[in-house]
Amino acid sequence: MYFLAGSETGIIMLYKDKRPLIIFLAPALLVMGIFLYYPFLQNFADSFYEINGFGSETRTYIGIENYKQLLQDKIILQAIKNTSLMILFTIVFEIGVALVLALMVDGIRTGAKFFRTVFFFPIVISATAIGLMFNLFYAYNGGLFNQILEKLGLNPVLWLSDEKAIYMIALPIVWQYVGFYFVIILTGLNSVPEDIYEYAYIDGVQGLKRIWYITLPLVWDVLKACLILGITGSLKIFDMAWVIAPYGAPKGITHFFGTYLYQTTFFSQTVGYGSAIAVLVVILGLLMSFAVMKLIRSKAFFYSEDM
Amino acid sequence: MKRILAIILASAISVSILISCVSPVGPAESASPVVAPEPVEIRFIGQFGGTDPTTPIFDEILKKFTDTYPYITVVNESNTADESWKARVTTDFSSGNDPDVVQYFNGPDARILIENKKVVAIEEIKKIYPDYAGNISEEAMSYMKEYDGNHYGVPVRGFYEGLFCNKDLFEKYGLDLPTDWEKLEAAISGFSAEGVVPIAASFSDVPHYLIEHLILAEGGIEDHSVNPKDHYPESWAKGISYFRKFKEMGAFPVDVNATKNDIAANLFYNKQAAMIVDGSWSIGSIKYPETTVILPFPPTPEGKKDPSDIIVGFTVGFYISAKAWNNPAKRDAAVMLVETLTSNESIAAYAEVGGIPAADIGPIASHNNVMKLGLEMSKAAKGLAMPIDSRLSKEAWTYFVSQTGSLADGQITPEALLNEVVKKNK
Amino acid sequence: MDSTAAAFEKQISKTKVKNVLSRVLIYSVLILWAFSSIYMLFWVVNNSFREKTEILNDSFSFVTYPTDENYRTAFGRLSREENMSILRAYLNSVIISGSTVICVTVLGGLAAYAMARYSFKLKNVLYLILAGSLLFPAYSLIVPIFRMIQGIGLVNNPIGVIIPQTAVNLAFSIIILMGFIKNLPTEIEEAAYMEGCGVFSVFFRIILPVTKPAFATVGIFTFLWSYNDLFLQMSILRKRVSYPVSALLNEISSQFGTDFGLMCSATTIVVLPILIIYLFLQKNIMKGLTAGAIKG
Repeated sequence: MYFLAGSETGIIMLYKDKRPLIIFLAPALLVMGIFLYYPFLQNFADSFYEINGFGSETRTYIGIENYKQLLQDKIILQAIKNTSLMILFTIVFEIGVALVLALMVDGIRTGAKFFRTVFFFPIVISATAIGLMFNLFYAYNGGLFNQILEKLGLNPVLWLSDEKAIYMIALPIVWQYVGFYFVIILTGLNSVPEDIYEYAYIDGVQGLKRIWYITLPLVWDVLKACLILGITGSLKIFDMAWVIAPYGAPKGITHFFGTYLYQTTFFSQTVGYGSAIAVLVVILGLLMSFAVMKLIRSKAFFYSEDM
Repeated sequence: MKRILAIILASAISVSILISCVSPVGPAESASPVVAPEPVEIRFIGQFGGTDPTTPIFDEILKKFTDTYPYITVVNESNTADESWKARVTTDFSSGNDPDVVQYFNGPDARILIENKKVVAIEEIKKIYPDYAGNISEEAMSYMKEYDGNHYGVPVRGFYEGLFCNKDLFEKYGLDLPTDWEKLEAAISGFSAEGVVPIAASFSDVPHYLIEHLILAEGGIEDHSVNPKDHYPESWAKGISYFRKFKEMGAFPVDVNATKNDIAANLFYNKQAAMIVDGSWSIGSIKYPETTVILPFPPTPEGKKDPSDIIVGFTVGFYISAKAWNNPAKRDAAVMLVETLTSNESIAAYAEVGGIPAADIGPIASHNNVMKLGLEMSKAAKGLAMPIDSRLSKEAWTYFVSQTGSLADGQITPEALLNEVVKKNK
Repeated sequence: MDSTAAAFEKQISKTKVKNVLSRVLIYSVLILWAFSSIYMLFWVVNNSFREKTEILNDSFSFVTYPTDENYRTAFGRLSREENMSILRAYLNSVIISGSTVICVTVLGGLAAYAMARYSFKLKNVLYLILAGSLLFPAYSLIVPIFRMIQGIGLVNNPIGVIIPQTAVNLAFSIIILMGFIKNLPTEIEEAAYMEGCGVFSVFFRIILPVTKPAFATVGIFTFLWSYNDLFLQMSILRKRVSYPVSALLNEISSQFGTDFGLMCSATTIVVLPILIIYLFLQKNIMKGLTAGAIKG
């Protein structure tokens, strides 16, 4: 069936001969192997040492001490908590909103180009600039939000309080990355061949039904890739969080792995411990990506209903 | 569409090829030597960059130097000294890409370089160049003494810290300047009641100077100068316990735990806050220097601090790398460069933007009211102490700073905090 | 079922109303989101013309007396050394990031195609390893990378940045492109095979044209990240003449404080070419193109 495009089951004769595989894969894997995996193996080795200072030559082998410390570190626990929350936000709001916006822009004619351009803006602006703007939104004395409340005759609010801070940090991150997933998903939607919609129209499949049964399955692999990027992205959160809440402000409760890693490596200068955190982050990322692969293996169930 | 893409790609490739062929031949290198000495290139990594007002002053000094010695090319790789800048310098040294001259930090930061014999001691240099660093004041030099007893960096400018006050706000609300502890507490209560932020501070993004001032105020120079390896002086706990007291008195901005230093300091510059504990580098940002004064932080009621004691430091110096020193072609040029950058004339030029000059150069005409007051304060001080982070390990200090908010909120006791600091202070 | 003409009419107008309503809803959501995006850019550009000392006090009003001081400072920073200018910085950036984009899309495209179409042992493992490498933090890689680049003698050479940046961005490009290629119907490839096409001509003649929008998307993000990646660029490019334009963002603060006016002008200067490139590449992400390709 036409709609079964690209399903894993239909591997065709063309790909029976595996010899070209090496030519396709080798260049990329070679570059990554030398300049990405080899350096990270060194990082893995570093995680068994005590290294005081970035680029320091003096190091002491301490076995799995860093990992033991990792298990007792309260900030790591906090980071796991905050990151889990962020993964939820990423899936629901970043990818979710991006998907909705992309479907909307995909469905209109007038202004589609305008929205496509404008929605891209937030990702190009550095986190320092966006962070400053949000800092000036949140400032207690004279911040924009409190100015507005004041005009409305309300009491000022402590936006970065212990309870609210994590959401206030998530807000600009989510807002910025919607644009990123929007562009990717929209590209995916645009590569859905127009004639499929024509068939669907003839069959009387329209509106939300068309989105659910036709559009989504056709961009399913793209969404899956977004999910992987979203999870790894949440595990990596750093710059915006650092600009708005350095050192996990207030009081270290808003630390993410990225901010804590930065703090341990550059401020505490416990480089070996930082390496151990990096290893933990990669392991967590692998586990979660594995879960995504297992849970969302095929898109077949979408088709099975009435196609 | 294909064609357009092809054109972009093709032009990008051709431009990149073109440039990668052209770029290695910089005009500096192709210029022919003017005089007899062999042309020599000195690679210099400095930290006058970014918004540092010293940058143009420094660039001028450097230009004069290369104009005087046309056979010396100085490759100036200066940038603002943030954490990734430091990392670049240490990576350079550890991977054989040593610069010839570097303007770097002393104390714990320099230790990696000294331990690995990457930089040359001034004592060593003086054996061959007896005048090297001869103009630097003894006091300034004393701050550059490293753990092995030698000196390495040549300082040019130091800093002082103090309690900056918006004098006009004190007058407006009929409060006395905080020349003693009683007046300080009166000012905190008084301003707090009037809706003015008493002390602008941020407990999040900078090592805030309140920590060391409270410890100094309680413990005096002697206790303050301790490096707590296995236990901490009692006065430290007492000193930092004032965080909680102050917070309960309403001394800080409501969002002190999460505000940024720039935003907090701006409250002070705009007269929305009455006081701020800060250093000489911030004076350039003060909008109304005529109505601003700087005072030594007052001693606590039982404090051992002399009222005039202040925190000062020289934390940066110019180092010559072992690699340049052991290279006969470069040694002379490197020494000449450092001598020029640290001459009295240069030190006077750097001092124009404030701070403590590292040599005796007399009064500086361009200083504003606060800068003058600051220098007077530092001259009148009976005791001088280095900031606490110059002694503690980075790990201990980072922990200390990160706990300040919890300390002020009573979520951690001073004793528990300091025990952990001592544990991390290896 | 007795559907009279009137009932039918009613039905039609009902759908019409529904359509208009949903259209209004769609456009209000889109316009709202567009407003937030535009506002951010406006905020930056507006404040780039404000006196730097005023930004912390009043950044949200329309600037009444615009000043070009912040731009002068920015240009001054870039031309701190002779032979260096804003144009040179832009050129440096385009060379580095443009070449990185080419390397990433070419190598990534080949690998993604293989991963999407071939079935082989360890494919899932490879995919996981790729996903894992998205998580390697830059600072845990920089020291070994720097030593290698230093060893090959590529410090201060744009190639010394292009190669590691390619490595860093490859995983993203492979994962995304793989998603797109997997979504393509295999019929045409099958037909091409029947006509005697080899894998390589299938890739270049069929896959590549159809996935051009995907390549453009990957290209733009790779460009963006390469362009904004100060850490690696500043580590390897030390001479000011080889600085990319984003190095400006490194100049906005020091111990003496942050110059927020300079930050806004620098951000504007840095963002400009990205937006131009995006507008240009957008044409490649246009609709209809793929449908035609498949039919043909």
